[in-house]
Amino acid sequence: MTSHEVNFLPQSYRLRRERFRRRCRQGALAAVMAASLMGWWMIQRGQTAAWRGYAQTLEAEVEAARLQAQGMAKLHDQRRMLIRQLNLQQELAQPVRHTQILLALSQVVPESIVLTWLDMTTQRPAPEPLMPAGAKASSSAGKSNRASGDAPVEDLIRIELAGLAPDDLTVANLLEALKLHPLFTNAKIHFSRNTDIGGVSARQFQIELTVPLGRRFQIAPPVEEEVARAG
Amino acid sequence: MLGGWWHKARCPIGIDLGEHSVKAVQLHTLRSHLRVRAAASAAMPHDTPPAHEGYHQAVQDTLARLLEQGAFAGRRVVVGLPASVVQFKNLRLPKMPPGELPAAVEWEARQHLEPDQQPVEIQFFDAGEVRQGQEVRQEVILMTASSPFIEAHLQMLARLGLEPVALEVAPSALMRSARAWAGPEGDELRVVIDVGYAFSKVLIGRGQRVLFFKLIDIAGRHWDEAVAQQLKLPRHEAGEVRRRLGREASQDPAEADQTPRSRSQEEAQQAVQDAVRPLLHELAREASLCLRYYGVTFRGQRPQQIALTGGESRQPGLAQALAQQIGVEVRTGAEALTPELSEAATQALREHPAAWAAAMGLSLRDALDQAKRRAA
Repeated sequence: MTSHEVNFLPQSYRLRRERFRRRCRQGALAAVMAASLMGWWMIQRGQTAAWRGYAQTLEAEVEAARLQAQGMAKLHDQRRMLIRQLNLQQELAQPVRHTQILLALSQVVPESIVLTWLDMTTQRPAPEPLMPAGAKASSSAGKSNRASGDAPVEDLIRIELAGLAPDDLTVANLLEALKLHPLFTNAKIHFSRNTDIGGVSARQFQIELTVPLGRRFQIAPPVEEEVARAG
Repeated sequence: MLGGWWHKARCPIGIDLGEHSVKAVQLHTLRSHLRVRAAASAAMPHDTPPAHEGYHQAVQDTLARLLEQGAFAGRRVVVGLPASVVQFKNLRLPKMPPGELPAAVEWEARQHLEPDQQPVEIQFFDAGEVRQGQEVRQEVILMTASSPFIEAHLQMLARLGLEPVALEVAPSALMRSARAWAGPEGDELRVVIDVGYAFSKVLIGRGQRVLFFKLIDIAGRHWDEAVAQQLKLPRHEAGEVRRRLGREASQDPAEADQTPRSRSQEEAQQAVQDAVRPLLHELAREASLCLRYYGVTFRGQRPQQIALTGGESRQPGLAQALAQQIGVEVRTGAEALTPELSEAATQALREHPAAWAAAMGLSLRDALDQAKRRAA
């Protein structure tokens, strides 16, 4: 009841209407909340899809990296195989021929020296160890250093030569020339002693030296050609 | 309200339930100006007063027809209860704080109820302080309406799908109309005499306060009965004749002169005038007594003018009888309504704007105070 505004609507009706309006408001609020939740869920769903896509991308990248790693492993295996083949080839096909060694010796040894004995010994290649089927090459690689190439034993040709020289100076010159020659290494004299051959006194000597095979040899052009090219 | 962006507010539909016709009008306020959005009226079936058991069905049918006619927006309605279903009684209570008044009025009203009376809804107007002897007392206009009738009314509105904002009575609606016409800020004394079909109402107020209200049992139906007796016609036919003659008499005089009247028409006019003249004078005398009561009780000044409204207010001779008896200028509704209100009005509203005063007042519920708040 008010003193200016008259309203004969019963209190019970007003309460009923207010209750109805409150329910409408609550319903509308609930609808808005539901719509908001739905929207939020849709957004989250979109984000989840985005994360899932990102995860798939990452998985694809991981798979690609795994394939790359596999490829790298294969390449490593191939490289190891190729090195082994190279070593084998190097063993089978030496970088310097015996005739070239003989040529070098003939150039180093002076005419006053007579060689009485020459021995050139090459190390025999070690055969590939037999591996059971399925065994990894890497496991057996350590067993043969030459095959794996991890700590290679230097291949070389061992040369022993003996001869007669007029005096020790000539022998010493020969030894010095052998040491200075790029083809030879480890030139050592075993002995040098006097000998008498048919009433002629001479110095009998024996020298040992090696030719390393783990190198590449390039035959130098003859001296005349170099002189001509320089002129 | 979203419409407030342009200071535009759609008012509820004001429905004035008369015994002869039902009027509905919807106003809207646009930048503090009132405009008519839709208006429609429909005649009620004969002999279905509110006490009749078929009353609510008749109102429902009439309202359904009426709402279809007008371009009304929304379902919110403010309904004016028929004057005959509301009991008015003036009470004088000891002076008390405003907060205690409702409870005191309700207690006092319960004391006046008969033990076997139906439950009632109680409302009141605080008319203000009056001096009774040496005592200052609180004058209250008590209004009661039968709760079952109101419940039936609400059910009828619910069947029509309408949402009642308020169930009102004529005084507050007429007071609001008077405020709208004169401007809501005005605090001058307002006197409205609303002449309907069942009752005439005398309203005296100041600002938004109703100071005095009285129902006078002299109105259109009594004039119809008098004319019927004079012309030996059934009442509703006599009413048609009286109203038609009243319409012709209220036309523009220049227009009326162009249509020559027959002798029989003039005789009928004279017969009707003769029949209703004593009743008009009786009504004017009653209204004069009301003003005298107000003057004595409230020691108030005499009004400058009286607004004459209601469906039967254009009865020829009524305004003159009132002016002669009371000695105050009487303005009819057509003059009282502002051009802004009548500008967008429908044809029916333009023809007889005073008949829509109560309906407009109902539609204006809350709008005036909102407009005043916006202006402030």
